[in-house]
Amino acid sequence: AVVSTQSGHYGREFRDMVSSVGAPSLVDVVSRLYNEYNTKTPQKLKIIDAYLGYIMITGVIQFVYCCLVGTFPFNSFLSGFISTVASFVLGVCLRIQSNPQNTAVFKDITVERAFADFIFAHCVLHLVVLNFIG
Amino acid sequence: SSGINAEWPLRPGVPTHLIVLDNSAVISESQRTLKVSLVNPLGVTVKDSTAKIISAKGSGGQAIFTAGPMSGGDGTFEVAASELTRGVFTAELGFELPSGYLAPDNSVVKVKCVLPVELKDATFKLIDVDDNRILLNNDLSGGAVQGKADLSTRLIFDFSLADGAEEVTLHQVFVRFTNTKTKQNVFFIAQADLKKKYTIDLNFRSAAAKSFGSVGGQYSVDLIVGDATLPQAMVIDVATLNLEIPDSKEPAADLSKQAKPEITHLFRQPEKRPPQAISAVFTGLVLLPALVLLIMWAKLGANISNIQISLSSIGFHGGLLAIIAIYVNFFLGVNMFTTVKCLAGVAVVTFLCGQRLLSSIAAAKKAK
Repeated sequence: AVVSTQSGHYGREFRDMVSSVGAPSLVDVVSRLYNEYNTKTPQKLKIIDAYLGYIMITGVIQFVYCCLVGTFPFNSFLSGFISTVASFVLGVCLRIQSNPQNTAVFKDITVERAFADFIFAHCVLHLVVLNFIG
Repeated sequence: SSGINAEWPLRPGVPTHLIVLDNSAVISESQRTLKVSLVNPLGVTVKDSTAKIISAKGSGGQAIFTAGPMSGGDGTFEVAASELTRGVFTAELGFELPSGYLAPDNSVVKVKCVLPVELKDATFKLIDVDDNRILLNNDLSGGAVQGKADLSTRLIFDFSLADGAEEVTLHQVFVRFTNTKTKQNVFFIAQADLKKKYTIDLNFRSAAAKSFGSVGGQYSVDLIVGDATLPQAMVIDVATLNLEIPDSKEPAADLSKQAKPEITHLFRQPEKRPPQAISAVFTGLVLLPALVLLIMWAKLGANISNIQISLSSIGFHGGLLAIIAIYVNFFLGVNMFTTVKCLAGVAVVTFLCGQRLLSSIAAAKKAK
């Protein structure tokens, strides 16, 4: 049987996948996601994504350390961990607000304004974190 | 005294105070007068004043001073007790003051009359309960008695306390047994019946274990009488009792005067910390992703080629570096006040430069 080749959202690879297997497997979905990400995402957002990945790994390492050696002193662990969590959140905010696809939602907030908020929030965050770290 | 104006300037309303002299609010056989003094705030007696007793009644209704003028004058007055009756009395005084003086706030004096009492109609009886025979019956007229008691003995000690002809009940009436060897005391409270006769009724079969702790030996028996209306407490030696208890126990050692065990303070043990090697490894592990980030940024092509070297740019980036330096200083031990003070200045500069820089970038983007 010949599958009709319709032009539409899905590229050729996807239709090939569907026609050959019937339903996409996990590996196919992941590789498709990776390709789309690489091609469609602007460079600025990829930079922010790399930063977010770094923050997350730092948080995970701190958490693993705490699980290994215990929570004393608890305030230090909390301040470090929450610093990573909050930095991640601020990074995500920056990413959302500087995504060109979202300009309709953030009409009044330019990318520069988002960046300025990001910097200011980080200044306050690090002051508090350094105070709490003990 | 010299230097003080003894004639208080007579303005209307100088207050006066009533003072009891010589501790005379306690009337006894040797001290029968109440002496009071009326003084001004400087402590100088008020001349040309007179005092009188308005009433001086006790709780029983009897009066210790007859109502009437007090003798003396020129601020110092006294009155003698008409009849000495034991008790606490409230004497109300009245004053006639020269013009310009206020009567004292408190013109009521609490007077206590103390008189001794006597032991009357005492009987000290030791009865053998099993044989129903009287071992000892003494009226204590010849002083303290000697007696022997064992578990089958019953002690009955009756007496009354008399003030002259009348029997009285007083506040504290105890019989004390003191072990002559160990000096330990056993107290019993004497109860008075309606006829004001005190009784101690002790059955040694139960009391030996309950009150004496089964400690036998020689005990001296004293009667102790105390009350607010007695000039001093009475301690009367009643008897010496030899208490025989089979299986007499040794009294518990008195540890109160021996050294207690020494306390060594246990300081708080510090919390267990991980070995330094593990901490160092994880410090390195935490810093490693930063390197990875720089490598990834380089791979993605992030660069600073577009940076303009303008005043606002230098101000903004310099300000951010200064803030980081202030934070590092804060972490190294500078207190929060200094940090925030430095931060305030730098933050203002950074904010202004940043705002100018970012708006110029936004404007340049819009123009493109």
